[in-house]
Amino acid sequence: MLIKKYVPKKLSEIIGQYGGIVKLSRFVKGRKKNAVIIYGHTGIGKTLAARVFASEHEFELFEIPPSSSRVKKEIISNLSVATQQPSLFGNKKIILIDEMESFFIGDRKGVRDLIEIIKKSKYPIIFTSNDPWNSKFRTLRKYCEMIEFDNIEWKHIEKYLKKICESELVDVEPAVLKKLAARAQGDVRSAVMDLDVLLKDKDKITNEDLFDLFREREENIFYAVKMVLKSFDSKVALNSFKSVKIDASEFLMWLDQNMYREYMDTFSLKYGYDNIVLSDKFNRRISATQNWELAYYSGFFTSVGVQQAKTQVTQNISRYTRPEMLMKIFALASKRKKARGISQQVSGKLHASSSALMRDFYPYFNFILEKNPEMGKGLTAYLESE
Amino acid sequence: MTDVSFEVWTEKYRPNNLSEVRGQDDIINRLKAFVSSKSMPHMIFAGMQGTGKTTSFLALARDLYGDTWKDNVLELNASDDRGINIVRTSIKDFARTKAVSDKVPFKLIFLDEADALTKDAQHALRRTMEDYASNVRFCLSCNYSSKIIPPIQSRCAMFRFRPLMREVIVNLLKEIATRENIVIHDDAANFVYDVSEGDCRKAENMLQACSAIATEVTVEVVREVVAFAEPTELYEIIKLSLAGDFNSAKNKMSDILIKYGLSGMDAIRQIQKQVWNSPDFDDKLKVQLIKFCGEYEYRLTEGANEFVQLNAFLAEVVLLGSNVSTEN
Repeated sequence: MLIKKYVPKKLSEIIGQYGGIVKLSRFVKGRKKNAVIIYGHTGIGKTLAARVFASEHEFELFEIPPSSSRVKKEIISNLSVATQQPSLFGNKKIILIDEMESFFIGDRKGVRDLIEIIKKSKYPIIFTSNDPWNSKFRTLRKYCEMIEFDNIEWKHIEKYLKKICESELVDVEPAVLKKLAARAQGDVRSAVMDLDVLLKDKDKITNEDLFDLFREREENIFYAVKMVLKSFDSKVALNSFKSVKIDASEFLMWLDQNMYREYMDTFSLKYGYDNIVLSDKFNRRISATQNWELAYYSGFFTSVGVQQAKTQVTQNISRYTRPEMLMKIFALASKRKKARGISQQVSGKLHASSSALMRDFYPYFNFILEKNPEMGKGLTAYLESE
Repeated sequence: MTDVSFEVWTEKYRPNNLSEVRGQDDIINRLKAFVSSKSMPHMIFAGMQGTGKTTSFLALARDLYGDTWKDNVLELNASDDRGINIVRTSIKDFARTKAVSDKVPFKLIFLDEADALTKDAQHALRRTMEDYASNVRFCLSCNYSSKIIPPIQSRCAMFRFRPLMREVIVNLLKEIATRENIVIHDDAANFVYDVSEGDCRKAENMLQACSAIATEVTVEVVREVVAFAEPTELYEIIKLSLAGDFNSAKNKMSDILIKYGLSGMDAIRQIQKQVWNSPDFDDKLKVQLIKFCGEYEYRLTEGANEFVQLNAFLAEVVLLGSNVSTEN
């Protein structure tokens, strides 16, 4: 499996988590608290960073894998021994408890025992977690430092996939990697798995292969798009939309991508968008209220609503394309996340809120970083100083 | 300590005491009176960003407490710090102890962007203010005083910060330039003021960015910085749409959003400003366009996907464009 074959061996090989790794090493070296919680989405390198950190700095790693096991007592007693005993080979030691949620399902006493262990531990303890803000960890959090790991930016994922393909001697169209990277939404593990599926016994991957991977579904979506944009029969539009089992929030992106090719007159275009926007409004209502009954309306407006908005059907034969919007949404989100992250970090130092700094400071700071790296470095050091 | 040869100018040149604060003379005089009498009410600082609210507060704290000001001041941010509960716990922890000063009997809490708090949160805040009134004074800063609930307003002295005047910012920029051994041309300083719209923090950051590429800051230099940092080309999208080229307009819109990291809301507000300032549209057209801006700025708060909302906005402009051209 590619994911095993290309697992990073050095910290410098882990992509997109530079900041988190620096914080991790500060934690181990500084040890203001005995434990740390590394948190973030799945597949972004939390456990990996802990493991590689241990091996690179020659720590012995005592790892408790994720388990819903009922033998917690045993684990707790193992832990209390491990946190006291010196390491076998006289090395330094790190304790890693992977996916702490799985370990504590329905158990508050377990948390208490663990806090005792943290208090007494002679060695740093690392937890990984997807959901550290859960209220049952409230007390536990007081004894832990918190390190957030970011979703990996798609550009990093793309680069990483490219490297794998190069060493596997596979020829890949660049667009394929871009799409795989965007699809992963920050989860580098799932991106590599997708690549693995595509790569089976091939030395060349084209856009078509990627297409194959999702083809059947896509063909149906294209058909539904066509029925909405080309026909006037409302039953056909609704049924073809329903048969693809696609969320209205995704389907409207397909319409957004292709509608201008069919709705050539400005009236149809405008009223088509009115219905897309209406569907979008219901999507918002669904996510705000969790009332999924409303999904009927968002689906209805994005299919029948858009269909009926047109005044005429064009005679031309259009070639539809897949939506680019998802990738754009993702690119924008990661850009904004970065800006917000930096603004939040300097907000205390510059006595202003992150939103104000995102607007008034970050763009200009960015300019300096790009145009005058030396000055950028100096300012960064100033901003990072206590 | 770190190498201090580089500093962010907004901090380096932030006034250290009330006398150094510029452009808000009336307010400063009243604050000075508080300092000399060592007593003050709760306060609301209302005004747009970069007009000196935080600066005046920090200067007040320094004048009041001298070297121990940091121990007697709590700075909080209502929009960043997670929810009113965090705000309340930190206030409680801070207010429990007496002021570290033999002269001043109270501590100060500065709550930035207080208008970001919901009504309920503000009511909770009001109670907290009363609970600790004996040894804490609050200073709430906000963009719009009307977003602060009346019960809090009536307990506070209101200070309205006006946008800084052109000559205040221009002079400040020139002074900073002199102290940094660079030159800024008159027209360049004025251009910085135009872009910053009276926001002093933005103006200073802009000047510092200029200094990264030139020691002589001309209009061209400012223009290069602005083109990098501000989405000035948004109004071209409107022109494309009016001309009926929907697909180009749509692609350009998403490119700009990503390039500058703008939210849909940022984009609409920028468009509205740029349309208003553009000489290319006649007044009747401006009214129509800004009507759409208002409509979609509101719709963005109701929708889930900002790209789709913006594209719908463009489709609206395309239709407007085709109507205008048939009328002529």
